[in-house]
Amino acid sequence: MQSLFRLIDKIYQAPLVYAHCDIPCGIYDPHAAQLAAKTVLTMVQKIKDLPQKEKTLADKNNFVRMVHVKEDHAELCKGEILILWTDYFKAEHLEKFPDLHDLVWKTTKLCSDNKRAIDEAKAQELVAAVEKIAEIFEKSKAK
Amino acid sequence: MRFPLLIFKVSGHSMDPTLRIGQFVLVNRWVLVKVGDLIVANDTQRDIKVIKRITKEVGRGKWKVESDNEGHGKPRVVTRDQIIGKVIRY
Repeated sequence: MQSLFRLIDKIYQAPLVYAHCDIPCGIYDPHAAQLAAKTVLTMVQKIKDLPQKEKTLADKNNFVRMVHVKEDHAELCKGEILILWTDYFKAEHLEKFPDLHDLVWKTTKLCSDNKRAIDEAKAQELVAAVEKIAEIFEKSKAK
Repeated sequence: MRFPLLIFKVSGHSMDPTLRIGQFVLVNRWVLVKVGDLIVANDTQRDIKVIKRITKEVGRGKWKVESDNEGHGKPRVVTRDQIIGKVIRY
């Protein structure tokens, strides 16, 4: 198959498609961070809804699974926010949104807090903080 | 109506070992994409096209895409309008 492709490439030069590690691909979206933050909140609420006494084996299993999902999504959220921060946001965005640096810093701290603890207030704070970053992202895209 | 098939040449290591530098891929623009597919998508800020694997559907017409070579390239979200097509042969 590659020989046929090479032959076609000689006639019609195939364009390059990039599979680079360091090239910023320019495809950014806060949706994944929003989804991860909401998952963290949902897991905290579900964990709180589990019976506190006389846990069945199924309850114990669910508890472990929910904690696992909560921690995974808190980490995922942090990663997504840091991608926006390091790769997407530029100096001009900081000039336009002066509290952006502080907001990102606090949001990533909230991700760590939520990874460590089961605290609905902290999870709500995380969802709200990610929403603010998403709003700034949308405003920065607006022409 | 646009011809459905396109050929691209791969540049970079982020899709190793599935795709190597210099390898050609055949892309179909007329098929729907799903989790697990290799796709070619438009970069929205630069005039380049990127190749990634869809790992998760994150919303209506939105997919999380990643590199096959772990640690090379970060997960991204692409929207339906950015996707050029699905890799059908390589």
